[in-house]
Amino acid sequence: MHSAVLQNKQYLAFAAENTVEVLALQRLPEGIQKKDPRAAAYKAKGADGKEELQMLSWPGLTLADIEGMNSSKAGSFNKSGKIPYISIVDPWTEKELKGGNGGSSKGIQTDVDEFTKVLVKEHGKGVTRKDLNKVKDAAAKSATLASQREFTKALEALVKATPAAKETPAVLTEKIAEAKKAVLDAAETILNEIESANDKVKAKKDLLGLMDRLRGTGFEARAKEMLPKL
Amino acid sequence: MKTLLCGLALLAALTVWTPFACAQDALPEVTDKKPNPTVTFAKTWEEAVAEAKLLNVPIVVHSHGFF
Repeated sequence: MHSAVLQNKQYLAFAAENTVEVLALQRLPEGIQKKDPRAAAYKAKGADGKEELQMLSWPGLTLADIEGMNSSKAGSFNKSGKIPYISIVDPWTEKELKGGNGGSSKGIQTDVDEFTKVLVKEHGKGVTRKDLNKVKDAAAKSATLASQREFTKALEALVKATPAAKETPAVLTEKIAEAKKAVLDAAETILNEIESANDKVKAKKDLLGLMDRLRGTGFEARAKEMLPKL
Repeated sequence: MKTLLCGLALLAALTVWTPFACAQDALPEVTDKKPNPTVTFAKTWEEAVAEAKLLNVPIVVHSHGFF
């Protein structure tokens, strides 16, 4: 469906760095009902690692994702009654900057480049998707590690993701700080649980198992103080 | 008379809505085929807006449909 744009190698590379792509797909349930091959699904791993059905023509998206997106503001831009329709939207105002039926991948790229210049002039340079993904992945990894009580490794994962640039964009440092706070909160919760546990033998065993995993959290001294009391 | 009219209205509503409801409940056919490389789509509008602000790039909305 409009594969000249959505599956165009050059456009894929361009979009990965320069746009956020949204699909507003109408009447998908009808395509499914008619067993249209474009409405088939395949088994894939979702963001949470669990198996889910994603749409073959729009990998990464489930039926629910597509229906949800079409019911959102994304579904309101095409007033032409025809498809395909491409809208280029300002994320700050959520208003259409340019829209039209059809359109080539080169034409979209030219328009996006022009509108990005205006956005940068108005709001400053954004972060790169590479850096953003690095931080997002590290935040997810640190959350998983924290849930396994691997607090030192969780913090190390966040340090690795911190961009090397001297002037790290504030949005990235904020995201890293949020993830770090979540790790420290999780460590503190565990320590509180151990401290107030009725089964002191088990609590001591838990704390001993935790000692090496608290390095870098700032809770090392508290853990040492707790040990003789259990 | 009033009951008859209500009954007819209900019947008409069911006639119109039943195919729609069935279409809404339809599940996609599962295939062993693998997808072709395609652009990465945002999962929700809110996610798209938040990410586009961070990157400070436009959102490109592709409107398609089964017509």
